[in-house]
Amino acid sequence: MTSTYLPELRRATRRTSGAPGARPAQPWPGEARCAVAITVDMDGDGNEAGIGEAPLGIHSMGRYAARRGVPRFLDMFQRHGIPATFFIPGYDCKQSPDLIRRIAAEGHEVGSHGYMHEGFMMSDEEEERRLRLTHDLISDAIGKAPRGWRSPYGQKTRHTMKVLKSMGYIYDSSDKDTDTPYLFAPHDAPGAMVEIPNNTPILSDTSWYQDARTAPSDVEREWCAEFDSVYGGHGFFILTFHPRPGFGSGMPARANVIDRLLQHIKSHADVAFVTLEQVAEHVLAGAEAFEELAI
Amino acid sequence: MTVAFHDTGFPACPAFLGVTLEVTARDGKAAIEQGFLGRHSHGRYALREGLWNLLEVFRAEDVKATFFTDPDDALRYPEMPEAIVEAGHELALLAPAGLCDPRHPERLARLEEQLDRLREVTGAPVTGWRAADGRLSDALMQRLPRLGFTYDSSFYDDDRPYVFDAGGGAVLAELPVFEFLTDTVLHGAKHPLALVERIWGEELNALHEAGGYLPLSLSCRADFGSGRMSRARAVGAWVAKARRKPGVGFRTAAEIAAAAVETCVPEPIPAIVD
Repeated sequence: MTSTYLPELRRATRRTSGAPGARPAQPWPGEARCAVAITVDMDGDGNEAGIGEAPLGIHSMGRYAARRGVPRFLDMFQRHGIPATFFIPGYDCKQSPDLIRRIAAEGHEVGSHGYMHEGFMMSDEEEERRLRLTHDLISDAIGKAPRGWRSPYGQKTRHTMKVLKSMGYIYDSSDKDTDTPYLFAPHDAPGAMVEIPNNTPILSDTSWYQDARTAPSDVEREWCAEFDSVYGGHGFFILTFHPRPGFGSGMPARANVIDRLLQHIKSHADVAFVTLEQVAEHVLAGAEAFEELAI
Repeated sequence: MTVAFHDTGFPACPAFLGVTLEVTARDGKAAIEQGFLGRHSHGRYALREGLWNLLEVFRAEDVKATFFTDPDDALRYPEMPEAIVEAGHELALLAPAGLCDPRHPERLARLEEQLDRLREVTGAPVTGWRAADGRLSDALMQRLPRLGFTYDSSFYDDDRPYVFDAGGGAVLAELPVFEFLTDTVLHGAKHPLALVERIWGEELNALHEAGGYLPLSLSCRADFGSGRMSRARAVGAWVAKARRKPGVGFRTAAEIAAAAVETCVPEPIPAIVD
């Protein structure tokens, strides 16, 4: 098991710019004023299988993802003409390979998201086994190896990052510590990966719908306001959706919120919709403009 | 998967009111030492006020509902199922928690006895099943048709009803439910009634536009249900609003299940695969 550690901020752009706390303008792909990353954590019935529950009754919400939620999202993204990044658990890939192939065929990125959406500590050996299993399942399904990973339930360690880097991953999207991407450098290994944080309390559906049972129209208002703030500021807007009921946005009223939010975003000038792989490549190509954290 | 019902002459967007009715079942564990007193008396509101308020609203709206009733409470307070059947509503079963526990096979055996008595006492066929704890097993689902059940309404996995292959040539319709069209979820979050009504309106509009179906799940309790007259009237208002939408028709769950069995291709009961 890995021990606790403290991260070291090696390059902090907000502290070294002229005005204290000011954020220097960061370049986004295509020199856009605002980069928008739509990300989808599939969270199918592997979530329930991972805790030993058959997908029946109260434990059937994950089935909705493959039956209705993901197809609804794909149709919506196609109407809007935008790419998204889908994080797929290995179990869900095994259950629905045709659906995963459709995701890739329609121009979206496919990343890894655990095997059965596990959110618990395990031995280094077992963790590596599951990471490689999911990696192989996705690679076999779509004919392309995933290059990005997102932790299930925010669970990850330094060992996780070490294994992912060894498999050729260039980014992780799990941390919650800043608004914009940065370089992530392990203390004990050369090279860096990109960390693309996702602010799940606000810019994801789970807290709103599961914790607070918020009306969809109120969530729409919150997200539009958040976009407006980002558009007028640092210009990096990343959202995380889940295509299931319960804590997700799979059902019509909540999917319509995403639809109207996309319309709101597209009504602004100089916005680029990007996959996380594009963001990571962009950061790696211009590393000096981004912060670096050593762990 | 599922097909539209319209080609069978059924409403294009069927809707049903699924009301869970229990008096002691939910508070039972917590009330063991103290008794059904004080804070453990909420369930009794259903018997004394909640059921009658909802029946009054349903009569005013001329709508038939499906009551999923705990068998212990239904037999203990027979005036409840009698009133439900007399008013023309469907009587269905709210299956007690813990039935799927393989360590307690006696629970299902007891339930089967209660089911026979309930059917005898009320004269109602009782063909619908909803799991109070949301839990089912493959074995239980295969057994339900043999016990005379034609449908379950406990899943959350589709926008429309569909049908399970229950083995041996038997089928079991599934009428999924939706969290934000369940009063206990929203009242349990302590939302003001106006917010609950707004959420229900948004769900109604979106589900109707998506060409789905409309299951509104209710409880007769006052604490997190719709038993209070103010909340029961909000249910009535929602029914009136839904009816104004093209293609919406309220039916009992049993009627919707029968239509599903006629039109849907049965699919396997899902399981963990590894």
